[in-house]
Amino acid sequence: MQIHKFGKNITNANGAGDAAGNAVTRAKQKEQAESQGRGDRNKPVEESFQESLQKSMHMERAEHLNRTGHMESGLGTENREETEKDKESRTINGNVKGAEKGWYADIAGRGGSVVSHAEQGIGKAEGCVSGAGRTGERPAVKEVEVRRISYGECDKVEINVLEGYTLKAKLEGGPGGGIYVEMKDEEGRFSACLFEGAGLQKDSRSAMERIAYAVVHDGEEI
Amino acid sequence: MRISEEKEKEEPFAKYKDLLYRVAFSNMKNKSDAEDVVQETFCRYLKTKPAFADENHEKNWFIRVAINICRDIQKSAWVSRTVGFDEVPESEMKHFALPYRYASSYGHILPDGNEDEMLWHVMGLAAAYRNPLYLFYYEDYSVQEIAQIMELEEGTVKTRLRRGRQMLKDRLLFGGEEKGQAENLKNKDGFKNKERER
Repeated sequence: MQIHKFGKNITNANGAGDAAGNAVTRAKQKEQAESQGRGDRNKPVEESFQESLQKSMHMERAEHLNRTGHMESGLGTENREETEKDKESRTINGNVKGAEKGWYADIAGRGGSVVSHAEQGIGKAEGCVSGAGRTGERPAVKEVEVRRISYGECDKVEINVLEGYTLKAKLEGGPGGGIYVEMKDEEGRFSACLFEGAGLQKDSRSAMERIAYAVVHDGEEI
Repeated sequence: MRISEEKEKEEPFAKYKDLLYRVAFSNMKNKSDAEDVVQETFCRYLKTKPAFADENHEKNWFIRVAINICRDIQKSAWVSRTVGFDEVPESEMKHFALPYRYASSYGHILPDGNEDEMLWHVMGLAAAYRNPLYLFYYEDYSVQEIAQIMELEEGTVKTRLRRGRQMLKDRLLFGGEEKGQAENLKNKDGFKNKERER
């Protein structure tokens, strides 16, 4: 019963700051000292040892929470863990859509014009670079209708289960022709683009552009 | 007349045997059981002789029957009394190859498409997540098609895909190999302990 109360106090201290928790702890310690002074010999030795062990564990935990600064932030335990987990998944796995947005900015920086398209047909392309008027290093990409080609028909396939997408790339019209790239995202939506060989970058932020590059430069790793 | 009938019966076998073998292998995780499943699927086809509306319907029927047979075998007394494999044994990995060349989730091209570690991790998931993930990524089925094959709602398929991916992430990022690792990680203390270890 005493242990339960003690634990409860420490839990309360999470939200209200350590002052209240410490006050209660001091009161408990005082009470214990008094009871010992009164000559309370009924309590078995093992039990009191276990109790003190429990208390020291609770104290350690409270100190740890204080050090990490979660008490000041006022976050509950559940929220804090969710935040850490979310952060972890964001950092490690990345975000395909985020990467694609960055890619458009990157292409615009290289001189390509970015055209955003509305939802069309089966899938929705996030945006494409207009191929009109391209020169030199400008990559030429245009959004095309999704054809749902099979893996067998493709020159290259990339399956990324963790990030949730698949890419299919096929060279069209022989060398110097376009590269048809089809993407299926984690929700099962399809989008397709036709890339022109010139200006494609190996280390592009777009997975679609990277696979198109790999098809043109066959034998190299994506 | 008889020859043409025979050919008609054999046609689906030639068309779907490889696909069915792959689906069966992903469930049974060994060659001999996968071959038994394929054989049983065609036996059921010959017994029932179902009428199909189109080729898609036919293909979906075969896959559904193969998955159901796998499930029946896994529920059988023999399998439940023996220790099953959660992961594909190394000796069996050579008996499975996808018919196309692809780059793995780790970003490198695989020479024959049969060295993808991720594929074996997918096969190690529970059937509810394994089949949608395998069909969606490795057989290139859409969510709608998987919903038809598995007789589920599209939303359910999407949920299973999402949870399956999360389980894989948990397994690969936190090194959880035991069953229910994802559930353990949801537990506060379990997650905290893993964080400390990392």
